[in-house]
Amino acid sequence: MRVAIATVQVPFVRGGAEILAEDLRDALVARGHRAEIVAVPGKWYPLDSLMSYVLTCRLIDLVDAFGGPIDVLIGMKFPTYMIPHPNKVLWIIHQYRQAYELWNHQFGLINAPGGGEVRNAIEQADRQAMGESRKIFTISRNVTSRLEEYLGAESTPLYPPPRNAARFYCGEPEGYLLFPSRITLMKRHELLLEALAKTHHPVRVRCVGQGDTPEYAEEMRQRASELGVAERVEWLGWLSDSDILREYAHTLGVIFPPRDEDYGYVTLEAMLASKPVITCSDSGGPLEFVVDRETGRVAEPDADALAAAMDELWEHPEQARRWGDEGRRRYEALGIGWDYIVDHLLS
Amino acid sequence: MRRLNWFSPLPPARSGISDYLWHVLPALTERAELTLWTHQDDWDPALESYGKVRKTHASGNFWRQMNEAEMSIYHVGNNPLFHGEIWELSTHHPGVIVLHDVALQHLFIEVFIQYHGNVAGYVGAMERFYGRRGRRAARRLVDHECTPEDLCAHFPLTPLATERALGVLIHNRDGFDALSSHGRWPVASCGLPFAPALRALRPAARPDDGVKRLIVFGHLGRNRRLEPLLEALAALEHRERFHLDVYGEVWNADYVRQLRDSLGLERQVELHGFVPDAELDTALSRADLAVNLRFPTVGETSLSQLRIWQHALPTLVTNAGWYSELTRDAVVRIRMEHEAEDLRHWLTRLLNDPELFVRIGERGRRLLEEMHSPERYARVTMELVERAIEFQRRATAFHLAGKIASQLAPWEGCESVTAAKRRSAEAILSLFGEHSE
Repeated sequence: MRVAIATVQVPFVRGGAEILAEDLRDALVARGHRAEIVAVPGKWYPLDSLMSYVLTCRLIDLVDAFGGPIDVLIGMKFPTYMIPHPNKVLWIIHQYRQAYELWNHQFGLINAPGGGEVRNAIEQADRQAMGESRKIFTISRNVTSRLEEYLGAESTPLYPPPRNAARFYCGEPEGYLLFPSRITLMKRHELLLEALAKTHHPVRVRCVGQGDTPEYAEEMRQRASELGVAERVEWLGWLSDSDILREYAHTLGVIFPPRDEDYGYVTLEAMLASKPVITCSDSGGPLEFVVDRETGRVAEPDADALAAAMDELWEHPEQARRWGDEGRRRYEALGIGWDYIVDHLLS
Repeated sequence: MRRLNWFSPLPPARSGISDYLWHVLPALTERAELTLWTHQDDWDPALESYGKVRKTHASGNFWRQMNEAEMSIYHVGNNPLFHGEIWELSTHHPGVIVLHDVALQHLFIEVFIQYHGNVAGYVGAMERFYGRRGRRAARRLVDHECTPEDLCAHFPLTPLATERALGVLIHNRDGFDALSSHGRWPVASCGLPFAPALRALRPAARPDDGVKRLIVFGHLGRNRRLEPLLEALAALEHRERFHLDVYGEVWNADYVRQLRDSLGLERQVELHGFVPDAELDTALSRADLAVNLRFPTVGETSLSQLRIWQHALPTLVTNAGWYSELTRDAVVRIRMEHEAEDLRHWLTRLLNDPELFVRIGERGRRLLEEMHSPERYARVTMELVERAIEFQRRATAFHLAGKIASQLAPWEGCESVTAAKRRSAEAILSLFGEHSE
């Protein structure tokens, strides 16, 4: 089959969504299909531009290309899943969250002039896109729940495997917890730093990832200083694949306390490396995999509870090892893999 | 109850629109929960018994607070001091526009050119709505070759106030018909509200001196026709039997006094300036005839006319705009093309047939009670709010269509434009769950 994967490309931004699209393309090609990523440039501001991008997607014709039909269009992100196609399948990473579960949040459309009108328009457009799709999949139960709650749309989770899944390995802990994530408000680095200031043990944390903005990354560094924990936090920035694999291999455990994460590759990467995960009870996607006191800790999203969880791991490394091993076993049992995904998307 | 944002001048602002609040708030707040927004530094504390009063942009949560209401109502008139910011807010956060004036050249000239120094923006707006003719007219204004009044009739710039509106409320029939003909937004029309019981009138004793008392009041620009009125008085054979009281802010009081003196009317015409309401009511109740001329008109509806009718006072009005729609026997209409002649005629008739004028005044009072009830106004407003909330679901579609139209306009005449328009229309309709025909 000839398959087009429709996604959004925000210039100068590269993250999990871009990687997922590439991995899907490669998986389709490995199965003998012709697959192509069709990336539509995206920009979410000013708000007035947003619906123009939605309309742009509605005007794109991907029924065929270069003399031959496009057999399947896989839509992955807002607004590219609006592109019309007679055989459209959605595998949704997330909707435009600021109109839905983040409406009331600091980043929500409630804070924008005319936000209510745009929210109405997005909801109508989303309903239209869902209604004209042959099948709807999501990357997690969390995203599936949101579609159900806000649009009454039924969908099925298909968990994507992390990139380099086969290369993760487990090594001896070297006295740190690992927090691999973009440095942005929703990932809650500030909560981590506040928790670190409350630990009884001299817990150390390595943060891998870059800030969405240099200003916010610097703000977190300054916050660490204010809290008196700067010397226990290392900001490693961007790392190569092999360096990240090494960090996972030698951490005592992974700490990942985001707010309502769509999926959370980090959780699965930790499980692949046989490491326990500390997450929070409102972290969304990770909760589909982390089982409290079996594969890690699920703490309340406050500094005291998170500090206690970090202390527990720090104080009981053998227990941490057992939880990590259990995490690996559970990952294997999930049967996450590309063949399963390709079969469902193209069936 | 619906939660509404309300934007208008607030008492004690010197604006007829701020006055009208006292007439409409009691009835409206029985039907909706209001937040009264303002950029003013002070407001009458009594307003807070009708709703929260908040300053715009006072906190970082301004837009959040705005979005917590279900609809916003913006009052737009020509006074840029009050309506400039209100209009600008309405362009960012669409809602219902209440048009107090239809021709808004004064407002937009002040906002674009005087406030923001944005001559290009003003010229661009004139071109956007009126094409090359609009552009040329704008350039003539910028070059001081014409006045805003010269532009009002053919270039009212009403669309600049209403293009993002979710609904429009207007107070006169002509304006309603014109707006409705676009088929673009929900439109409603209703006479301005007036609660006669709001201000208890105490009939004042009228001196029995044979002098007919005339009264003019309000925000008196040149369009209020003070000059022709003084000239008509001066030309009367029995001018000494008239006395004219002028209340309110005159655009150039020194000039008007000089004119008065040069016409020998020093004893017949008195300029009082702004006075408290009670004093103005006393003057109205002693008067025999109100003069409420306006030309050119900007499509406004006169709250002052309602106040005149409350006193059952006959009125001379210009036969234009809203005034031309008034029931013939409730006012005396002055034809613009025969202004001087008509003024002299009716002033003379006041002396010869005073009973006619008493009857006209009484009919005005009955009209006030029938057509301008606050309850009716509140009901019409809330019905429009409901229609606007429903229309909001489709408002984005119109906005997108406008953007496409502006992109395709330079290509008009090309064969491909028709296909592009059709494709765009289908795409917009498909976005909102409708099917093209």
